[in-house]
Amino acid sequence: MLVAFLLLDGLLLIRRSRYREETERLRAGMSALDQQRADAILAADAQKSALMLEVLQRQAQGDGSIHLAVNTDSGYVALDRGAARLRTMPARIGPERRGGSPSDTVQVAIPRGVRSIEALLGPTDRFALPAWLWTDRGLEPPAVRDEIGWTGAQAIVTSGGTLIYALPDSGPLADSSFVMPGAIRLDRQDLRAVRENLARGTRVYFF
Amino acid sequence: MWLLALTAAAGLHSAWLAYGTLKVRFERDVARMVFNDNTEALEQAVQQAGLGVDSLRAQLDVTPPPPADSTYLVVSITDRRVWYKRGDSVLFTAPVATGSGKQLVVKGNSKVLRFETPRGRLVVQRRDSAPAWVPPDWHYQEQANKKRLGLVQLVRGKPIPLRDGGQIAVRGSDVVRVAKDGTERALTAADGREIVADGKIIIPPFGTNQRRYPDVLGAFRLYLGDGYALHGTNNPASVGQAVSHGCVRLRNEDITELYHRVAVGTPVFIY
Repeated sequence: MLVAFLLLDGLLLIRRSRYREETERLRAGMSALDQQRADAILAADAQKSALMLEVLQRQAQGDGSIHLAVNTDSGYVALDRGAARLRTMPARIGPERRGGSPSDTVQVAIPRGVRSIEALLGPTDRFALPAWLWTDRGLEPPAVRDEIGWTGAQAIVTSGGTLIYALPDSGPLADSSFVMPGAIRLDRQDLRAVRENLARGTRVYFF
Repeated sequence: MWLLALTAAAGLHSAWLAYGTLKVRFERDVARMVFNDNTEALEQAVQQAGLGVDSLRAQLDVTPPPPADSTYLVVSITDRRVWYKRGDSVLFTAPVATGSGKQLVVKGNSKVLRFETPRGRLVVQRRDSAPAWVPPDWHYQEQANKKRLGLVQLVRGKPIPLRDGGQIAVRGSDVVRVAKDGTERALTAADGREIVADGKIIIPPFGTNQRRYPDVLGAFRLYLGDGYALHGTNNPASVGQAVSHGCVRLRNEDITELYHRVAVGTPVFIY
């Protein structure tokens, strides 16, 4: 029992450290105004805000239409309908990071809250990948950044621009060891299995 | 005694640490939302629930978490598999056959049938043991197309004359062949071995024994409405393939297991 508690403590400390690091990185990428907004939310009433998040989660569970639930901490995306979990898909969550070079930088991170599907991409659709995907690797961005096939056979774009994709055969995302920052990568089989059930407007809950 | 005290202290420490970690995680969540300019979700919740902690609690009370003990079935058309679940736990799983996706143009009108398993939420409406399949008219047309034969509908009271002077007629619950000399013989029919006369497949009327195939659907059926069902099979090798006319086909041992576990009213999610 004692050992179990010690192991739990260790796990919690690792998590806590990870959360702190991410918070610091995110705050570093925020404007002063955004930092004040975040502080105001936290200062207002932490208990109330936590309850608000819980209300959001309950709303997702009570959503009787088909939707996606993205759990970034546990690393999965689920296809849910009300309380029924139709499919749990292991996901690789892209890290949050600042992309580009000074004077033209952009900070990307997985969102939190409710979004909706804005576009469902097929094998012949084009999606412009951000230029920092190349500049981060010290490469010159190509003139055309939306070649056919670069987002694989299927991909999802949510409102706000979060990309959910599977490993493509070609292009800058065709690297099994790499997940695009601010994006989510699923197995091809999983994305194929849920694709027909999704439509523009389908809600995506990020927790 | 001292060990008990030490364990209790460690437990309290873990609880304190967990509470602190949750707070740090919440700070991270808020940072993410602000960063992504997505605080409208929080603001919406505030509007819906009011501003006080009490009203947020009330909001939580009116949207209780889904009952964890309710069971349901999930069918994946892509994976060709069924899961019987309670909450997040899988109680039983088995391979299935699903709709072939083939099309059939119904003769006489422009209607096109597509043999697909329907996606969405259905409900188990009925549980049947030893179900018989009553083939719809399209089954006969499909067989006629496959075998390059003609097709003729048999109607009660209107025998079909044959080239040899005999006829095909209905007697009670049977389709019979009436020979030229007047002797009658009940005909047999099975899936793929329909009644054929003078180069035409005969469509027996509903209610006759020749329009009931007793073994096709296997041992049990969970009926979902609109002609769709989860059922067994007399062709277990087909399970795992996209070959059905839209039903979800299981091996007999698997549908037997489900039949004994699944109640009428159980939701079935097909995706």
